[in-house]
Amino acid sequence: MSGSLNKKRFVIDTNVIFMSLYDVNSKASKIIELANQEKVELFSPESVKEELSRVLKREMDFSEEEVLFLIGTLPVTWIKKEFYNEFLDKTKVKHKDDKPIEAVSLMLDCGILSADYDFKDRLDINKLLRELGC
Amino acid sequence: MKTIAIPDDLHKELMQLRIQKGDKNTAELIKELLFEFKQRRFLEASSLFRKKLKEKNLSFSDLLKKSKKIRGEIADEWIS
Repeated sequence: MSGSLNKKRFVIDTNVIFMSLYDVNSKASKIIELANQEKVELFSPESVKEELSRVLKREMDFSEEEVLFLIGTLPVTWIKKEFYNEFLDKTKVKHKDDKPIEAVSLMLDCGILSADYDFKDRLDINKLLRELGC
Repeated sequence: MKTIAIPDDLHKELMQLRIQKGDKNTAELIKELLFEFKQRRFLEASSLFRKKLKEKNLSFSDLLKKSKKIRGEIADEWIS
């Protein structure tokens, strides 16, 4: 990823993505805006993309086309399982469901943006936005 | 650096806009235009998301609960 060395990298969880879509004035939405400005870089495992896709289709009646559109607007780099697989065993999070998120954060050596308290090392969004001058 | 070919009139418009905005170079202007485009698309996605949520009469907290359940289902399928 050229030109990414000076940018801050984060792993973003589903709940933060949903919050950014639900409230465009939220702090989560500000994170998306910063990523669109290329001031930060957002990553997430493909399992999160799959989760988004299933929720949108199954629970919200999105069509396949609408799902592709919505996911396509997210400035997130989706990491395939084959890349973070070896880090799954190194994760400390309690639930198996959350392991891919922590595995990607271990792989990229970066913090997690999540509303889930199970991630003990999750980043404080308020503090982060202050550091980024927002 | 890469070069792209664009029609003369579009080039002229870009130059005028660059001068109006006081951007140092065209790359800076294009970056700003791209940001505006991405943000607009994201706002469209957000609007669609809220519309669907309302149509389904789903609260945001209920949606998060359903999402958590689906995450468990994916973990069972994807992680041995």
